[in-house]
Amino acid sequence: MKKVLQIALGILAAIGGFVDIGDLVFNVEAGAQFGYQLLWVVVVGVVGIIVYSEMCGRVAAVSKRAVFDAIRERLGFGVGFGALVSSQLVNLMTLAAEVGGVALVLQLLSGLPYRALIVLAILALAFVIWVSPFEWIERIFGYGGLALLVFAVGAIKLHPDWGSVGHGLVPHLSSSDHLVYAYFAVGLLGAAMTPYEVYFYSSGVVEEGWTPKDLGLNRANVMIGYGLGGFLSFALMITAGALFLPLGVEPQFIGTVALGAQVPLGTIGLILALVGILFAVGGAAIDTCFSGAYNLAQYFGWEWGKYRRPSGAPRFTIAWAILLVLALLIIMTGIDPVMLTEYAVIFSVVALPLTYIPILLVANDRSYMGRYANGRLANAFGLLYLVVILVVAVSAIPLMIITNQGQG
Amino acid sequence: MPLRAWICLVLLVLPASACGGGGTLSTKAFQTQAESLQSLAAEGALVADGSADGRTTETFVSVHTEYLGKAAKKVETKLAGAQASGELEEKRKRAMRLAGRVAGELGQLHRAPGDRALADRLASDLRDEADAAEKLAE
Amino acid sequence: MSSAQELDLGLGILDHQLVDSEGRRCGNVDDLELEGVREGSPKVIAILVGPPVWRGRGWLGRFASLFARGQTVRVPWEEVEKVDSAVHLRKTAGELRLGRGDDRARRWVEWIPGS
Repeated sequence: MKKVLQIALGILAAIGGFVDIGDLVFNVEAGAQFGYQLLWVVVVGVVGIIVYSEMCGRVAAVSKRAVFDAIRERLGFGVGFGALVSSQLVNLMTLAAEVGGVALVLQLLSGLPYRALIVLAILALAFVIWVSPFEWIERIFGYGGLALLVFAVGAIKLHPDWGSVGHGLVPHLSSSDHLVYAYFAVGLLGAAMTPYEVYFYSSGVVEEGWTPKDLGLNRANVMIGYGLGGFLSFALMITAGALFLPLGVEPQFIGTVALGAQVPLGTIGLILALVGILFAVGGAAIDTCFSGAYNLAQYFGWEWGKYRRPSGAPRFTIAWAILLVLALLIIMTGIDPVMLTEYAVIFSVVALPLTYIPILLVANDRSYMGRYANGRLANAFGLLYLVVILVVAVSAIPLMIITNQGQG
Repeated sequence: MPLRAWICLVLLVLPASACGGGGTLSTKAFQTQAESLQSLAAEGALVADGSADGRTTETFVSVHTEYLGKAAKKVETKLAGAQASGELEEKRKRAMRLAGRVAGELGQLHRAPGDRALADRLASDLRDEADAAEKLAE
Repeated sequence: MSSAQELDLGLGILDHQLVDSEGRRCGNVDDLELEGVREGSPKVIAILVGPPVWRGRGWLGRFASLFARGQTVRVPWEEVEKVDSAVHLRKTAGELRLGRGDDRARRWVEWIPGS
């Protein structure tokens, strides 16, 4: 019974934690531009993050080493340092965007000035991190993020053409604007497979003291959690396709996303959407912040983890605090969080191979993994997604430039 | 780099950046602005609908229409600072005035988010303006 | 263990996590001290840890060593208890003079309530 409860709780936390500002922005923009045509890309992305996270979780449960341990070990000090620097930069951009997103939602809920809310958001996040044990951080934000299910209800109420929705689930090329279509495909994959999610997940596995006995839990967690999280992405894209596309609305604001629930469901839809976005993005901010600190600590061999308590892992603690301060400074410059999100997602896609390949190697290493190394199925998917990731990584920046960030 | 080289670089870059703001308007650039205007007006109409029906919060209406209004103002400024020729010039002027009206109406919603009668009127105005912007974009 | 096997093991542990006898993480294997390379029978005699050691790890290593403080710590090979995904040591970090970066950083954090 305890096991079932543990699985359920973990899954709930994962669903709420799946959607971050990158998913919100790209799924809604893709829906507003291409209707339901890109739904199949969401499926590809969800399967990808499941494959990737399962490997990272398994490696962490068996070896007690998280992603960045593997990166330094497989790529060496030099290339590993390059991976560290690039992942820190992308992480910081993402963190700043998430914090900005939190401030924007707080503004839409309260009417208070944006800049003051940025400071409030940072202080609130720091307080929650300091005071809550690791599992509770995940639970709070995961459950709060469940409010995003309102978009699923709203999407149904908008009466989309379900035939077109079904057609969108089948991989196909667009009827027009092929380059913009490709850009959004890349962006959706990037938003679904953001690296910080696996840094955080693998470190979290160590934080929660998982062992090889928990590998079944690992698989259930990632499949159902990310799968249902993908369901939320569907809801966002279908909402945008049913509501925004016919009116020619080009989403540029977080408020536009919330409007997608307000129109079909009224005030209660709006409030639930805003609360859901607040918790999902806020939780993502904490995940991103911790990921930056985990990466530094794992690369340099410092003690790390919330479970060690701040005085047990002082450099790790100082690292996440400094990252919050840096994010504060970045978002205070007035940079648009939505635009920053788009850049962060694209750049994280470019860096993805550097973090994926070491994990694929480690997961196959029997001296590391013993009998828990990748089997044929895991390797089949692992290699398939290696190809997907390489193609996407190489084409991301050219597409972004040629299509002027999807504006054509 | 020596000081003189820096000065030369700055002197070259400054005039170029000053020119960037205005200049001739291409059909593509105009289309982008007109589509953006259509989007802002259509979205404004959705927000106004919610307000008219009492199915939203005043805070949301006030904050969101402020962002939409600022964006509409930016479209107006961009169109005002550019020049076109022939039929495109005529369209540019109409779009510019349209953008001004849209920005003004969004501003009214921002200042009086609880006025349902006003919101009802502005919703249909904004919808007409969205249609007008769509026609200009074609 | 033959010296060739020992060398393989040594190279295999480069860049791995160091864990002390109490399970505390205390650094990474930044470099290795070898002996007998010229004679053709190389052996690992010590693990080297610390920012100055990074200078020997390529130009990025030299770049990284500019930003970090700390001294080189030499851990003789005899102190290695076991090697799996990490290198487990026989003594505590304090006894081996490892993990001092965290010791220095602790005073910044321990005065805050709840640490």
